[in-house]
Amino acid sequence: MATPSRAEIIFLFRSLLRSARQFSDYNIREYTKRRTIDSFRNNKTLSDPSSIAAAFSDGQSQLQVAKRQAPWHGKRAYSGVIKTSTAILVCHSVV
Amino acid sequence: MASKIIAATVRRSLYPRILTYNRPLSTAAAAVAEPSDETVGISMKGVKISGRPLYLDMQATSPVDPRVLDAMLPYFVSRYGNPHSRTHLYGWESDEAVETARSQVASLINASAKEIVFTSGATECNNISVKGVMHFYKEKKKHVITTQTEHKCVLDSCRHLQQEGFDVTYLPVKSDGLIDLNELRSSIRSDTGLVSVMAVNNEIGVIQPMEEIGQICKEFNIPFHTDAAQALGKIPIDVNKWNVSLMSLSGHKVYGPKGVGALYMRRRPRIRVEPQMNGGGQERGIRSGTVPTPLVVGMGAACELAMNEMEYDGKRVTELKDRLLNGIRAKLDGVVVNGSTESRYAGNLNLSFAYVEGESLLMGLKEVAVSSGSACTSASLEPSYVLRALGVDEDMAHTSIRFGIGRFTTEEEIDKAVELTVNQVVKLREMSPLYEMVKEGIDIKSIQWSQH
Repeated sequence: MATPSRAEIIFLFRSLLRSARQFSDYNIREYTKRRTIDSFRNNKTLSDPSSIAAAFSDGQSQLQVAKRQAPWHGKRAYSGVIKTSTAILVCHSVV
Repeated sequence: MASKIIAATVRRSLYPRILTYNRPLSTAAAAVAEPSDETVGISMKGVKISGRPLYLDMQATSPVDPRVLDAMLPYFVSRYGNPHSRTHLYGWESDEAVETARSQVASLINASAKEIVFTSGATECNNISVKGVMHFYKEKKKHVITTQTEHKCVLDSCRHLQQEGFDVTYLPVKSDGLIDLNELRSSIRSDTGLVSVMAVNNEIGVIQPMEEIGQICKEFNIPFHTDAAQALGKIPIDVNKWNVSLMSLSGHKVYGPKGVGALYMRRRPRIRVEPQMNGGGQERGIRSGTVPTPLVVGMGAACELAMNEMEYDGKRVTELKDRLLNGIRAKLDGVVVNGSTESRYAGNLNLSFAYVEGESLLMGLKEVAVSSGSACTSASLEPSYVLRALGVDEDMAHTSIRFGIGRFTTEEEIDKAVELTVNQVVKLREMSPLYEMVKEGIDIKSIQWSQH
């Protein structure tokens, strides 16, 4: 496994964040964003080429999962009312 | 059933009354005043919802992680073979997936894959363990030891055994929810066939001293069963360190699918059970019935994820728990954490609010999905038996709320939950004559209420 270049790593990071935004479900979107940022921050100090390559390929497979899952996760057809943010919660009334 | 109907009726009659009191201050009124936007909600059980409530009930169940679902989907779509089919590719690939899942579950608890039996959930595991072991060894062993704070399915299995003539000791717990090890030691008899103590309590989140209990059981050579449904993926589990013979695990508490669980059964020294379900001899005859490949694959994926994420999730859940507790404590007095504060899982925060009525509090918190205790008993107006076992006062046991924090909970949600809870408690206390008396310095416990 070749060591990924800096540009490739940054591209992966941005792709992951972009795919996170595709989740309609509030909690999963926020989690994907947070988890991406935290893992990249956590792996910042990696220096061993093989562990960098392993982390990179792990990120790539995560990206594939996110791309597959995002199109429908939290979609209205499956969710009824959806949770898009916590702000929506205030306009909810008791009849 | 009858109690459920009564509870529902009481709730219905309770509801409008609370509403009229609440209206001027509640968020409900605010929503009526400003017409909501294009999002038309749905109406359910008298509550009109335009957005999903924030979910803080992770002990009842957890959402399926998208990564888990991604692993499951192929087995719903084209890989639909029966894992027990030996004659074609469909069967082989399903069987391979089931065996992979088995080793994923096993490695999370440091067991061998051969010691894992897939079942329909932790309830079934508990039934197999408690009834199965006692029935198998019924010639010599007549006594079971368990605790008063166990899950309903263990207690009910024990009740069932009692009807068959077995002896059951229900160990009391101390006020922090933990059992007394000396008491355990002294209640062991020569015919004790099983000790069953749950690892993490589902209602109050306390962690029992598993290693010490395991040590005692080893000393007396008694099989030790633990219900670790709430512990799996949350605290490190090692079946050898804990010295358990049987362990119940559940899929849907670790961001896996519902309807699947796993039973750990020790091979050396071997523990044997009488099967509760007879049939095709799947899962080595202990649990007959076709293994549900997609669910089992989901549980395996969830366990592998949990192993990788345990540290990250644990840190985050602890942060959020502190944020929630400090947020509420900063604005309210008379808030009590139920159960031990040291030996507990952070994601389960069981709080009691003094001088408010629990049902009204839960009613007013429709924007937050929380419960008063376990989902099994939340339909009744009875206070939780777990809190009563702890010796919590009746009034405090009535006002308990369990906040469950998990992998997908956000800071924003916690802040919102704090805000809504504080508002509701303040509102209820404003109309509570008891709270007024306390503020005036009257000791409520000293009052002699007249009897009618």
